[in-house]
Amino acid sequence: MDAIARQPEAVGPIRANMILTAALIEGVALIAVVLGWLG
Amino acid sequence: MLAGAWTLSAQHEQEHRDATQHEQHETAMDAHGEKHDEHHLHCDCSPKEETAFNAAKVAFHHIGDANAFHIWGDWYLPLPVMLYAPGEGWTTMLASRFDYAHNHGNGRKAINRYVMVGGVVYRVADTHFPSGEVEIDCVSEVEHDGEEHPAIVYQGQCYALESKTTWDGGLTGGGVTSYYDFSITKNVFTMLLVFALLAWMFVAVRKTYRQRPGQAPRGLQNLVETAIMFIQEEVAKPFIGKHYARYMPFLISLFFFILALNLIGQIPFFPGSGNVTGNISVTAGLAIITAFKVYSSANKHYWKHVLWMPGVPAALKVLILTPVEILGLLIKPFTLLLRLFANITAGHIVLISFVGLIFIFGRMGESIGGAIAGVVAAFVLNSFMMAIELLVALIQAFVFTLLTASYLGDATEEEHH
Repeated sequence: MDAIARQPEAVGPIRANMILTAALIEGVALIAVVLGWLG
Repeated sequence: MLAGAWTLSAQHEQEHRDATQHEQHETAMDAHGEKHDEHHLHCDCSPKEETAFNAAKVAFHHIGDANAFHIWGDWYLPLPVMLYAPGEGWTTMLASRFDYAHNHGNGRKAINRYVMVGGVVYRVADTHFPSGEVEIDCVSEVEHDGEEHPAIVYQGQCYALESKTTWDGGLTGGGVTSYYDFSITKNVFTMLLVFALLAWMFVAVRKTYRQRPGQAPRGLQNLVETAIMFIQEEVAKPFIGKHYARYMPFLISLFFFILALNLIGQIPFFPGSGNVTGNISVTAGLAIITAFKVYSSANKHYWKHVLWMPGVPAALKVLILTPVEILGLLIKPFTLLLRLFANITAGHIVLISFVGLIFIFGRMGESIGGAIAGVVAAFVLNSFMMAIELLVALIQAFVFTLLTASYLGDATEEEHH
């Protein structure tokens, strides 16, 4: 949000990187979900 | 007294056992259900009492693969079953040969020791079970370690079924089966269907481009062109750089395949009911292909940076950095696999559980008012969840493609100082 505010024309790459990072973090959470199913 | 306490505890463990049957304590009991001496298994064909709705069991049954498509009520679409047992040869047939009509997908016949339970093919563990085609009494289950495993009753005797092969080869229970399963199951059928649909779509769009060169896109071209341009501009060019065109076909195939499989898995009825990307073997296949592609297009610069990175003292490299990097080579495709699998499967389990609310509120048919309240709740929650699932389907396909492009970009990066 901050980065987009500072540099509105860079919203494209910022959005792509944000989604990528969110998915990586969600990956960690989902590994926890899978381990919950296993146990 | 000790022996008395011992047998008492053994009896207490398995509540389903008939109290008059003496149970030998299974000192040699291992995780494989089929290693039990079958004379001590107890299951019969008497109708079971109505138990509370088990949401977990229903959810896992519905997201699992099956050899027959359950279409509606008692209609099943049988799929080809192709099994190979080393030493015994092939057994190929249509799943309908198991004669599961009006029986909740449980077959009435055993063919070469294969049986069908709930639409899935299993095999009788006991090798002394007669081969060829025999009629079995019924499909039942045995309880073992607190879990229920399917079993069949034949001529009054209970026979345990082999558990399906697990990814760890049976280390944590289950085990390797005695046969190889090459059947066209729901997942294979859905993948072939998606392949046919995508092939048709791409060929049709290509023809349109040929016939109308240089004109504004029309119809399906719009959709396909938007997606391909998106992948090219937002994913391939920024992450791969100069040689992005080499990897565009792979990235586009990956994106559309995963997206189409995710979306078709959201449709709750035939032909969409196969949960393909939620099957860990399918995502594992995708991850292996991606890993193979990335590591085979990696140049010397990449391997040097991964295995023997410059600018770091040798001791540090050997002890910490290189082993960690090698682990990373394996972990990166593994996370691709898990991310897609867990996202899609978790979504499906939640959707099925919300539908299960109908049965929980209606207390398995006892209360109509509760069931109606359950329908309203399930409808609202499911609409919300399905909207999220559409988004998740798109995002997961996009992220898989994005990370693949990122890894490809790393692997093909040129020397720069």
